[in-house]
Amino acid sequence: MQVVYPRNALNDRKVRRMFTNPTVLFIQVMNSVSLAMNLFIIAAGLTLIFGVLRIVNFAHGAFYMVGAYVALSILRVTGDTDLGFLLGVLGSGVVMGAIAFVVERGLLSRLYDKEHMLQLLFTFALVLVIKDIVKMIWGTGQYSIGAPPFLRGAVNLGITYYPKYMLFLCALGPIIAIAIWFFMERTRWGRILRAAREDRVMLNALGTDVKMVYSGVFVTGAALAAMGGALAAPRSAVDPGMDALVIIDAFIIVIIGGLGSLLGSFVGALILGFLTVMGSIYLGEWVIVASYVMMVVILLVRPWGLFGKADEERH
Amino acid sequence: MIYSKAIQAGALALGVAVLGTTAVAEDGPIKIGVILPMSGGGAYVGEGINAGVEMAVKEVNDAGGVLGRPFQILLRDEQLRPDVSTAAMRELITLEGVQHFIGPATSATSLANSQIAREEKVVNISPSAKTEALTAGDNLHDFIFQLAPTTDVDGARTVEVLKGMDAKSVCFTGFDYAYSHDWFKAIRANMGDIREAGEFLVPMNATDFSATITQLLSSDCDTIIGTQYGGSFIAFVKQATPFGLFQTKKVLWGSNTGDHAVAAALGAELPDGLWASAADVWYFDGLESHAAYQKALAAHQGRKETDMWPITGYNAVKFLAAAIEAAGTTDPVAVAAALDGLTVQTPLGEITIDPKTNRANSPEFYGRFEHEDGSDIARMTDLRLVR
Repeated sequence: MQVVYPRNALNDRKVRRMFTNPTVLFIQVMNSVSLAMNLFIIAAGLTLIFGVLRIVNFAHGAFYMVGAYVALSILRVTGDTDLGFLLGVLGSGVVMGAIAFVVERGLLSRLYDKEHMLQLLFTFALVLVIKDIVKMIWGTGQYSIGAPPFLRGAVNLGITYYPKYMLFLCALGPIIAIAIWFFMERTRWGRILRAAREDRVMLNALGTDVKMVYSGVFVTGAALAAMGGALAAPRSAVDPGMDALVIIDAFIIVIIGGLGSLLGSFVGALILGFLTVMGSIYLGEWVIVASYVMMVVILLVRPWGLFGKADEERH
Repeated sequence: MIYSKAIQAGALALGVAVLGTTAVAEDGPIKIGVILPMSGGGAYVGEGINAGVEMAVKEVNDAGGVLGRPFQILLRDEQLRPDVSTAAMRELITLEGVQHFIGPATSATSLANSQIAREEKVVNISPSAKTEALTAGDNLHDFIFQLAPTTDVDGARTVEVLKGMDAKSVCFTGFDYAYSHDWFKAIRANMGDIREAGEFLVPMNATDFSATITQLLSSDCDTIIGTQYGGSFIAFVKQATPFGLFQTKKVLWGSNTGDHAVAAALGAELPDGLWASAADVWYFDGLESHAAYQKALAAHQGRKETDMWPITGYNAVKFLAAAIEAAGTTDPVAVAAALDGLTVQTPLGEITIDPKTNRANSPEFYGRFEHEDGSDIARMTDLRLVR
């Protein structure tokens, strides 16, 4: 397969005057959307778990890291092929889902009726345990997963060339968002999940096995995090520190979007993606502060986030 | 009377106990506090440096120790955090009585720990921190010794490489932190006719570089100089490759990205033609002492293709052993004095600590990555050991 690169696609000396060059502006917009969709895939699992289980899962970043490492191991077996990459992504979700099931049934389920602080401490402890296990299995070295062969190089979009893998992420984010929305809003299982979110005691009284509902949500959220890690790997390094930063971004997204809101996470990811990319051009090091300032401003105006529900709206 | 005798007996017993303890301490092992990143994204650096420390300590101990006493390593994880790093150093001084330290690994943590070394008058050998600030101005004191080439030295060496690359104009990119600022400043001070076309820094530990890559592509420079390191460098390469950055620009990278671990991690994804530097490369065959060191390191680590970090820890132990031997005591004031102007034979030749600056004249490799036939892992070609 011939790989097409954007040779000299960009040739503007007015580096910082991005808006005078539509090509550069287009690329930066695409960069923003691509980053946003990558973050959304990770944040979707976090908001799903909080939405139903009401647990703030600090271990979500660790699940993301495990996903990347599992994909790495699968690719070592399958080789650097398109099918291998697909198996790596799906396999990371399956393996992490299985681990999450054991953790939820064996440990976390015992804390649902306890105070929130215990749940927070548990997920934080889980981070430390997972990091040590990752270190024991894969060591402290750095690894790399390449994009699948059919998504390498760049494609001509008319206005410019753009990396295929980033386009793939741009498309995958909305597909996952629509799939989750459809599941939650248009299926029987989705109705059960929404009912569990509103009143699990009543749902239990009506004969639904709420325990399994909770397990299913935790497993799905963890699998989404792991697949997010596998999908992010072709744009990053696989190393023992990769969880630390992504969990901060994921929390910013679900907080500004509204804890438990899928649409909120989608919009929150877009806001953070644009802020990160555009901000790094105009704000420099202040871009980090800007994301926190944005979060504070949104929470001051709407403490429950952009698309979250205030407590009085819930009841 | 009985009470008075009991007091005297107690005092005598206490005195004997104290003397006994002192005697044991003087005959016991010499403790070395080794403070390195052993978890998170920097763990591969810490484990590498520690491997060199372990190997050198084994060599010293197998040869009978120093002043007849063996070295004992007390390892602590600094987590790349100055607060954790300084707490570890204080713990080792207070609870373990450690008087000689190797580490931490990075500029930020080393600057913090150096101040404790000054206050507590303990020897602190920095194996890998490069920032000039560690041993410049008010930060320089009698107990801090910097083995890695500092950014001012790196800057002058880098410009020589840039001239060899026929660079006409350069763009700077990297994390917004001390090393980038110091290194870029040193390059600017030396680059003469080479024109600067822009500086594009990203926040420390950023993971998405797409905006910066677009800026670099659209800027009017033929050569890019960068500083992201470790996993962030890997991420930069993977994000920049599909944009064609390495085909349209010449690229020279700092932060020891010439390390074989980086090349091994990226494999076929590492772009040919990228210039980098490294404290050591296992495939250098220009010195017998280096070949012997690499053979021993390969046996110690169980693999032939070793990384660059062990040599930094190895040299640090060799300097400490030579200084204690020269001082004839473990007293840190005397050991620090012995380190001034001390010359040690290392795998890459003689290295001397300048008594005025407390900096060592450690050499570094510069080269251009190329994939050789039959291997996915690139090696540096045009390899130059710059002193």
